[in-house]
Amino acid sequence: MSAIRTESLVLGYRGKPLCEKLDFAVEPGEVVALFGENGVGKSTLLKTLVGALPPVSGSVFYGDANGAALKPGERAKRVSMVFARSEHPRGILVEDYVSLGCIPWQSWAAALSDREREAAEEAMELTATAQWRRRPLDELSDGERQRVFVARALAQRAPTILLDEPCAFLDPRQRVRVLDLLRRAAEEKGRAILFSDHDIRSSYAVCDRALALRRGGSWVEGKAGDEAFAGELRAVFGPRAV
Amino acid sequence: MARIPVPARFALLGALLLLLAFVGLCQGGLRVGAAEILRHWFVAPDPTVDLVLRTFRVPRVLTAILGGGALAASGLLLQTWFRNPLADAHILGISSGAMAGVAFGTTAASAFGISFAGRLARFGTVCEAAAGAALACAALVLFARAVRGKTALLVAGVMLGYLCAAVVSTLLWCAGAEETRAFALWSMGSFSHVELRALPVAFLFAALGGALGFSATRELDALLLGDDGARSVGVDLNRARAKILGAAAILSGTVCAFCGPVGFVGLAVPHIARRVLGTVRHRALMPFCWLCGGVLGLAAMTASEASGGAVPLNAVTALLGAPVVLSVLVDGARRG
Repeated sequence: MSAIRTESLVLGYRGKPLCEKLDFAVEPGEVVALFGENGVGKSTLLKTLVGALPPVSGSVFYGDANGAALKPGERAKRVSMVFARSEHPRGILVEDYVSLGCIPWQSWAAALSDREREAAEEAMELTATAQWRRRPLDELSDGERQRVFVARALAQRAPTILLDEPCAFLDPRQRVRVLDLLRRAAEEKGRAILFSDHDIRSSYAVCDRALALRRGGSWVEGKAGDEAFAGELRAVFGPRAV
Repeated sequence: MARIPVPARFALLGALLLLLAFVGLCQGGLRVGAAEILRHWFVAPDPTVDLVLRTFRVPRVLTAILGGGALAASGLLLQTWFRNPLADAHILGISSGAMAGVAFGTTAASAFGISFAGRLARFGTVCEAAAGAALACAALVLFARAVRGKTALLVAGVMLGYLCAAVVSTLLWCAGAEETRAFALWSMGSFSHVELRALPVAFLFAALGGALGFSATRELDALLLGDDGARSVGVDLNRARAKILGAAAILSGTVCAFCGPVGFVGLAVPHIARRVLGTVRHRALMPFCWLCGGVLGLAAMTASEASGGAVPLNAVTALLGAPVVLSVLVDGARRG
């Protein structure tokens, strides 16, 4: 079963549609890249999928559950997200930040059970961030911090992880590390990953499939390595895109 | 600081609270000092000492602990919700609302020849301050619906404060000089005017606000991720806002009503608590704020009493609190 699936989904703000209907799914263990120029609606799609924005029409399914019927707390156990501008309070320690991912599984008193501690621990291990556990998050570099953000999303134990431009502002070396991390989260932990990015060439190299949103609102979808799809991407983003 | 385990930090602060509470019990005239109190407790009960403790000292100490703790907790709730290190009941105009309420009562009562002291004794000022604080909170809720963004709401609160201050000046211009003087004294804040019979009421409201605040622990933690982040971990922001702002309003409104507008405790204590505890998780931070607020409340009360009340409570809290806020700002600038 798909980890996340859309059915005739139409995105937009306050009932005004932004693009055409989207029927799309991400399977467990799969990495899917999301391409599109600034302002076409990449973030809108991700925010709609995580439930921060209501869809104009259509539905989102998390496993077999319809998003419209899910309470926010239940949805958060099925999908997690790393936002483009992830906020964090000054001075928060890396391990405290990562364990904030466990919130959907906690009671009102926000106690960390062994199961949650373990999830946070595993997440820090996979992202190689455990070494900074007692350091304040704001002392880390952009690339290191991004890995902590991914660890937080992993600690949420949701089958699907969405990431809004996780590689923005990163130098090439750090980009590769973060992209490699997404691959490992998919392969080792079986997560379904959907991430948006502007550097089409480098993320096309690591993803299994890609979804592109054209200016004007139409969708293009295809497998990485498929020559016909690569041609379509070149038609949208320029001859040197892939 | 890092070497002291967290439970020990709670215990140390708890010990400090007990010590200050005893100092608070021993303070004052009437020839009841530490020796007399200890003798009364452990050797021979003394009706005079009992009367003094019951009438003046115990209510004062309990009020300082409860008031300081409640203000600190409301400050923490507001700072986390607004994601602003300067948010507290004063900045948001809740205290100013309470002042406007009492100013209104003062003017109206002076027209009928009822004195300030009379109203103070009959809980008149408590009711007026509570009504004023409640109205200010209601105005904030309306603003929250009308404006977009938390910074806008914070500015709206500041404007509300200015508006209330203007209303206070205008109203007092109509009241007599004697009444104006009494009002000025009340507005300096005091933990020493709450009687034993009034304490259960104050305690009930503080417990209500405190419980509501504790019940929002998970939501408060989630808010550390920002509004979008909080939503993505499954928090209903409307519900969280109702709980958090509701609890903060009840807590600060209660203290305002019984003790007058006491400043700086709500602003400074959350900063101290975060620094001392080294965490921003509310499960530990919230109880620590209550404890820390109780200690600061007691410290301010004993310092004010040590001067025979000549240095008002608000002056002491500002003396203790302002350097803390400044150090946080300077530290923040250094870290970038």
